[in-house]
Amino acid sequence: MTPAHGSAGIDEKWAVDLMAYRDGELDSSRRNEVGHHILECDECRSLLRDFGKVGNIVRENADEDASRLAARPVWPRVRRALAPPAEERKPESRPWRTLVPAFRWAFALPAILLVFLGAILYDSIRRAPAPEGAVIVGLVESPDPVFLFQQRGSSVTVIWVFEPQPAPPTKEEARST
Amino acid sequence: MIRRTSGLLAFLAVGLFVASPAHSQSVTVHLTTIAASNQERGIDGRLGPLSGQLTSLFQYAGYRMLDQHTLNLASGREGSAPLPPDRRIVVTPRGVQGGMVNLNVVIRSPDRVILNTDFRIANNGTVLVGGPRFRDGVLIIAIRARF
Repeated sequence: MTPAHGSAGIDEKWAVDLMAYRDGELDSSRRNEVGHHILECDECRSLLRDFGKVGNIVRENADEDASRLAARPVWPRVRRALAPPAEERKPESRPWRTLVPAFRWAFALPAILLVFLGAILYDSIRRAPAPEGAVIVGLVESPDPVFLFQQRGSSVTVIWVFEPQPAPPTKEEARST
Repeated sequence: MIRRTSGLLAFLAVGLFVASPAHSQSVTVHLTTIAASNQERGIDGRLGPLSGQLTSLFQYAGYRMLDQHTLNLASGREGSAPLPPDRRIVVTPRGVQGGMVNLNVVIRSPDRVILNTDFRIANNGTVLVGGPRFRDGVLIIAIRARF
C-alpha cells in the first residue's frame, strides 16, 4: 500500500483528502486507499476524530444562528425599511369616519320614520274593530245571585240579578195599612 | 345632541298620547228600560228590534217600554238615569281599546247597590241587565254603546 503521508507528518493535501473521506466525497479507489490507511495510522484517526468534533461544533453553531434569526421579528423591520420616510407618509384615510357625521340624518330619519310607522301600526291594531256586538264581561258584583248568559251566535249578553221577592207584609203591617 | 333627542322623544310621546283613542273618544250610551211580566201580555211596538231579542231570550208574556235615555259621555265621566220605582243606573265609560269600549255600570236602590259590573262592548253591542223586581214582574235594562 502507498503511504498516505510521509514521516514528517500530515501535509495539507492529505488533510484535505481526510476531510473529503469523512464527507464521502472521494471516488471509490481513493476512498479504499484512505480507509485502509486510517485503520493503520493513529495520527490520521486522531485527526479524523478532530474533524468530526469541529464539524459538530460548526453544525451546532449554524443551527443556533438559524434559530436565532427565525426568532427575530424580521418583517416589521423589513416593512420599516421599505416604508417611505415619515414626512412623505400620508395619514391613514378612513372615509367612513368622516361620512358618519355628514350623513347621520340619513340614518336617523329612517329610524324616526320607523318609530312613527310602528306607533301607527300599533294604534291601528288597537283600533281593529271587534266582532260586531261583542261583549266581554270583566266584573260582576252583587249581593244577590247573578246569572251571566251569552247566547251563541247572538250579539246580546244578559246579566241577570236574582233579586229576592220582597217579604210579604206581616199581619200587623197589613192591619196598619 | 341630548337636548335634541329628548325633544324628539317628548314630541313622539305627545303625539302618541293625542292619537290614543282612549283619551279622545266620547261614547253614546242608549238605555232602554223595559218592564217584563206575565200579567200584561203583548210586546210594546216601541221596542223595535229589541223585541225579537227579548222574546228569544226570555219567556215573559209581555214586554213594555218604560223609559229611554241617551247619554253622551266622555271617557271617565259618569252619566246616570232613573229606574223605577226609586232606583238609579250610573254608567261610566273607561276608554276605548281594541275596538271596544270599557263600561262600568252600577244599579243602585236607595239603600244598597244591586249590581256593579265592568264589561267591554263593541260598537252597537247590547247588554241586557235584568232581574230587579218591578210590580208583578221584573225590570230589564238594555244598554247599547256607540262610539
